[in-house]
Amino acid sequence: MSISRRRTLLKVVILGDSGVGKTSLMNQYVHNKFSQQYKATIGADFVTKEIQMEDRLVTLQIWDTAGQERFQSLGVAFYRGADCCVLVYDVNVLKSFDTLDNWHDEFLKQANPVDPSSFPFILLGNKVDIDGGNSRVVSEKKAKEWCLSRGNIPYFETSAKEAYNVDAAFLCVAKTALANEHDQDIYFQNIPEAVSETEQRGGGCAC
Amino acid sequence: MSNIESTSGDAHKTVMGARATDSARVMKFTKELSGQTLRLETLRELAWSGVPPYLRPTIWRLLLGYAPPNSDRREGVLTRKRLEYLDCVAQYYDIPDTERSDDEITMLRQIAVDCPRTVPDVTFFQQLEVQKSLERILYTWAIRHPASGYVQGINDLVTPFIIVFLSEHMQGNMENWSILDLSTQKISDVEADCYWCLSKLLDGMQDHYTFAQPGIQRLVFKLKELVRRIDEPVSRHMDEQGLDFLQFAFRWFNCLLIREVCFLTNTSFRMYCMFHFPYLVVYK
Repeated sequence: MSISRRRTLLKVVILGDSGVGKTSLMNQYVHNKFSQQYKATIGADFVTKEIQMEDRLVTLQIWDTAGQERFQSLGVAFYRGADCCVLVYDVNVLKSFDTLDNWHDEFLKQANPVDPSSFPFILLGNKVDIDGGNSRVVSEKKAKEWCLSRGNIPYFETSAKEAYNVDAAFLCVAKTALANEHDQDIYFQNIPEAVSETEQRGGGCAC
Repeated sequence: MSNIESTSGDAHKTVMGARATDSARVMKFTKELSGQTLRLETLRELAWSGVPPYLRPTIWRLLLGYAPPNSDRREGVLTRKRLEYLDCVAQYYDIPDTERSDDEITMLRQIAVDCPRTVPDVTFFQQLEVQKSLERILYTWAIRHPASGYVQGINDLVTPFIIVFLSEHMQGNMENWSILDLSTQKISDVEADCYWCLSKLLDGMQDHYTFAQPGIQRLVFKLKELVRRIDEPVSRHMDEQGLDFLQFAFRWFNCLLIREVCFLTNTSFRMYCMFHFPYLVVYK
C-alpha cells in the first residue's frame, strides 16, 4: 500500500480575535519558544512542521491569521483547502469568547468545505497562566458547553507562554485533520477514475 | 526658515560620503529651500535620490503637503495645525469611555492592543510615553476617518514619522533615545506633525482600509498582472501551486513594505519617501 507511506500535507487555519495568542501558540508549537515581541499579524503567515503519525509522515501547514474583523474579507484566499480550523479565545477576555460563533460561521462560509456539518474544528482557551487563573472570565464549563452545542468540538485549555497543553492540542489538531482527510480519501475512492480526472481537468483550467 | 538655517550648519558634521549628503546635493536642497516659494516638483526630483537625514523632517513635511511651499506662511500654518491637533485630541481622545459609542470603544481597545506590538524589538518604542503618543495619533485619525476607522498596519505607517520628526530634537543612536528628555511642548509638536503627515499619506489611499480593502486588492491584482507580463514561467508556476498573490503580497501594501525592509535604516526612510510620497501625486 503505497498510499499509507506517502507524505501527507494538512492545512490548518488558526482563527480568533486580535491578541488572543494565535501567533504565540503557533510559534510555541513549531519553534518551542515564547516571545513578548510579536507584531500584530497582517493578512496571514504560515509555517510548517513535520510530524510522524503512526506510519505516516505528516506535514502540518499552519496558517496564522490576523484577528481584526476588517481582514475577514481575505478569508477566501486563506481558508481555502483547510483540513482543520483551530479557534482560539482568551479565557480572560469575554468578548473573544463571544465572537467565536462569528469566526466559526465565517470560516464555513468562506472556506466552503464539502460537508460543513462534519468539518473539524478545535477550540483553544489560551492564556490560562495569567494571574494564576484569577482573572479568567470564561469558565471551562461554559467553553465546553459551547463546544457541545457546535457538534462536540474538542476543547483544550492552553498557555502559549508556559507551553502548557500546546503540544497536546496540536496533536489533536493533526489527528482530527488526518481523520477528515481520510474520510475524503474514502469518498474519492468510490468515484470512478474517469470522473475524477474530468473533475480535475475542469477545476484546473478555464478552457 | 530659521529651522533650516540653524540645522544646515550640522551638515558638515554628518557628511559621511553618502550620496544624499554630497555637498553639491546639499547645496541644491539648501538653494531650493531658501526661496520664498519653493517648487515641489524640483524638490521631489531631488528627493528621489535621497534626502540628507538632517533635512528629512523639513522635506517630508513639504512633500506630503503638510507644510506650505510659501516660506512666509510656513511657521504660522504649522503652529495652527499643531494647535488644531491638540483640540482634536481633547475632543475625541481625552474623554471618558461613557461618552464613546461601542464601536469607538472596540476601536480604542484594538489600538491599545496594537501599540505595545508596534516595533516591539526596538527599545525606544517600548517607552510608555511613546506608546501613548501613538495611541492618541491613531485614535484621533480613526475617529476622523470613519469610512475606514483604524486598521491594523496603520500603526506601522506612523513609525517612520515618529523617528524622523524626533530626530530634529534627539542626539545619537535612536535605540538610546529617551522621550522624557524632551519638553512637553516638543513632544506635542512632534506628535501633531506625525498625525498630520499620516493623514496626508493616507488621504491618497483611503480605500486601502475601507471594507474589503478594495485599494489593496487592486494593487495586488496589478502586481500579479505585472509578474505575468515580465515573467510568465514564474506566474504559471504560482498558478500551478495554487499560490494566491493575496497570500503573500497583501501585507506589502497594507503596511507599505515597512515590515519587509530593515527598519530605521537610511535605505528604508529613503524608500518610504521615494515610493509613497510620489504615490500621493500619481494616484490622486
